[in-house]
Amino acid sequence: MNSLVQPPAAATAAGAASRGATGQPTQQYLLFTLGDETFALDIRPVREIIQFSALTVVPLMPDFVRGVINLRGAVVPVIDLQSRFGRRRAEMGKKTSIIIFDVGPPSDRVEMGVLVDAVSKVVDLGAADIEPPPQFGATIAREFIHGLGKVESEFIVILEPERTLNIDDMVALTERHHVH
Amino acid sequence: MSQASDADQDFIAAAMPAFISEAGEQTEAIESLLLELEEQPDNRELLDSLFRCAHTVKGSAGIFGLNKVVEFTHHVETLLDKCRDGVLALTPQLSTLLLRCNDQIKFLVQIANDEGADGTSQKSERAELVAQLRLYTEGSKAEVSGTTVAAPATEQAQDKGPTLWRIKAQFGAETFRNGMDPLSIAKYLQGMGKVESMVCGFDQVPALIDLDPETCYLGFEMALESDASRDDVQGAFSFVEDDCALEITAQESTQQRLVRQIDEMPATPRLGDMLVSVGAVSHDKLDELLSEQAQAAPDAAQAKPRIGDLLETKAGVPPKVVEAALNKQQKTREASGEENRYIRVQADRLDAVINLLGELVIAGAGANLLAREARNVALVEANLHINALIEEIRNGTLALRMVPVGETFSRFRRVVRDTAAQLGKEVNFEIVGGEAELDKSMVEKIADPLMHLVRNSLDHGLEPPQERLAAGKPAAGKLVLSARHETGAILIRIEDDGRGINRDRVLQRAWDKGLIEQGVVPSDDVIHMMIFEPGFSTAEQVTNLSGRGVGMDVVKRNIEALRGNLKLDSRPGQGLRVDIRLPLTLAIIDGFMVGVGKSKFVLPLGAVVEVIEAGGQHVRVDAQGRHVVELRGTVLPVVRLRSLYDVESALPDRTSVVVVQAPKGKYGIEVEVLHGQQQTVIKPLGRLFKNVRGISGSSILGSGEVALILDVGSLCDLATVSPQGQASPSDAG
Repeated sequence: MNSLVQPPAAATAAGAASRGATGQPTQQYLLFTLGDETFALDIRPVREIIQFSALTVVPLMPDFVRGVINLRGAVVPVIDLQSRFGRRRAEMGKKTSIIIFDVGPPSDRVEMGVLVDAVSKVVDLGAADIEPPPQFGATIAREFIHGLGKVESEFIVILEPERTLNIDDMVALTERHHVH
Repeated sequence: MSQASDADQDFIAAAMPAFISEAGEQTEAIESLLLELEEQPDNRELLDSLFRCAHTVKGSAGIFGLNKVVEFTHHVETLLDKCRDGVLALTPQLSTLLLRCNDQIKFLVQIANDEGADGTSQKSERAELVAQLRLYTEGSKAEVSGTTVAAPATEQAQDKGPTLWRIKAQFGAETFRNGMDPLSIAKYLQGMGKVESMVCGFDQVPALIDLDPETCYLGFEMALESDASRDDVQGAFSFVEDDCALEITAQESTQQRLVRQIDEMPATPRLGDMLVSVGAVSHDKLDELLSEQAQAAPDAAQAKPRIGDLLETKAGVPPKVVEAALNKQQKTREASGEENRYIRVQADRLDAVINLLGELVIAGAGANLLAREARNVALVEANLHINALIEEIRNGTLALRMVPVGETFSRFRRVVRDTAAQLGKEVNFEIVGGEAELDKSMVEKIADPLMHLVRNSLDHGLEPPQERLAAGKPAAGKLVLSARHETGAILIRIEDDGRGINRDRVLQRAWDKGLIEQGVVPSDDVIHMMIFEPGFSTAEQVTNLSGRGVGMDVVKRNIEALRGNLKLDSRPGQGLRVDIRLPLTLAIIDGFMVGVGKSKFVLPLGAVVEVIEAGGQHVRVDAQGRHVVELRGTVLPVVRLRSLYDVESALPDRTSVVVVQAPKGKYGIEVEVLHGQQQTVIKPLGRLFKNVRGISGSSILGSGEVALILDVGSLCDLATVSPQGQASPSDAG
């Protein structure tokens, strides 16, 4: 209905690891912006991307939990990555989108929406294009960073999905939020 | 009496497929657990699960009177118990043996409907397996005897021709002095049918010198062929019953044997085949009659003589036998028709349809809006009609998942009856509120825990009749199983008037088992809940039904897995009440929708007591900084949803207070808009929100919006405790 970008057919688990021009195996990453910074995430767990319309706030939850949306009859939580990284909450803009991910172990997969300011494009990156996370100078905590990807002579932070979208971490945070 | 047992038979026939599929699952589980245990033989948890599976199979087979399954599985269970106690190690040889046993259990379950399919090779294999099992378990006393469940002797003398009753009576010494006469009873019996033989029993008669003419020394033995039921025959002795040794046994007549064999036969569609296989008519004779039948009607227009009639007239088959065969034929045809009335549907497919319908509702609302904007009256009407239909389909589809909990409850009637009989207890079992509906998946998961609790009440709660009488209670105990919807949850209650929980014994046991540190005495509630701890069992003897210390811990775990909770209310000497409160996942509740700012919330309608149109005036702040409202002289605490929710819109002039009833008492919820009553489909909020207070779930509204369902129980804590969260910045102005 309001899907902006359906992940390309090649983005399925098998097809994602295609071969780049140089012949080395590559991986597809989804680029999006938070504030004025661009981040990348492995595209494989991405289910779909929808335009932000309205969400229902759940009271007494930490800031990074923005609320819930109705995704074709399922109630899906929406996370504010900006806030999760310890920054200010994202402002709603014209291009604000929600990326729907499949998170959690295969036995207990759940859908989770991530609020981003804009979704820009999908890029192919080979292992040679990715550098390890910097020791210092990063704008977000190092645990969230998988590496730095070189896209058109620019370095982009590739997020570590295991940490960034870890539902157990988030549950623990909400527990702590409720204690005080 | 006979009506009740007929009802039981019907119930068993109806529930049998469910048992077979359930037991099939259990045997699958046993197999995979055994295989897993081969990898990790010391895994206690796997061993426990294995034991529970076997226990479950045995238990449910017992309900259906499948004695072969019960008997055989009992041996397996005994062995597994030894393994659990660490007496035996689960060696690969033992595991192989158990796998073979499991195959036999599987086989026995499969043929549960059809005893005749049990071949001699299977029987001898089972005997061999049992012998091997006992080799392993023989370390302790063989407790095999006394475990077989005596099958309730059911005789259905009716409709099967006369029964040959063998009656043996020895009359009490006081019979004459009580004004009774054995001869009149014999004469009365004579009137009921044909007396085949009668012998007077005078072996009690003393020498003439010792004989007291007023004392009765006599008895008689009689063979009576009669249509009368056992009760009727016994009724003849009703005046002397108290001091008369009476034995009544039924002996089958040839005709009855044939009828019974036909009933027990696997379904065969052809009448002649049935009669041949029980030996009522020879094969040659049947062929002869069949060709005669064909000859009698050379062209189809002419009515053929019926084979049943021919068998009666020409082959001398008794009419009753032919009738039984015809009935059987009819039943077989009906049964195959009935299978088509139910369709097994995968639950997730149903869910997918429900979700799609939700989308359809939203799309329909959109189309409706466009039609209104276009001001096309005909189009608006057409849309309204479509929307009404969509709503109906949606409700119908949702209702597919809901089943009355009573179906599960009535399963227990049989359990209660048989268990009580086995334990020598009397019980009046009552079911209340069976029509309360619950999601199918919940009903399935709640059945086992309930079964355990019911058995527990019977086994440990209710006292034997003498003990009850001594305690000044009626001899028959009372056991009530009830269900009702209560503020967005379902409350299932098992209540008995037995002895309650023996607090001291439970405490002692908990000390012995190391569940509570020796000498520490916690509160009574904590002690009572000890019965739900793993490995806890106060049963002094191992019974066929309960008392092995599995069950109660599983009960608690299963209920918690359903996000429910258990509460015990024990009154020593007066009874025990177990309350199980379960959320109605995916259940539809009657909701009351309210609004704050742009947000909408749903309250369970059942919890709403009244609404005060306060106009924003009545809510004030008391000395402790809590919001309160005065209602007819009492002061109620108030939860301000707008401050709790941090709503950014301007404060409206008018607010209303919805007074709700929580378990801890009444309180108010201040809201801005009253949207009114509507049916609400509960959607769980998921793991991320499991700690959230004041919210029990969510619901998707017709517009596609998500509304939160308030949990009046935990919201109440926010009202009375007054957390800092209430005094949010937006509230300052």
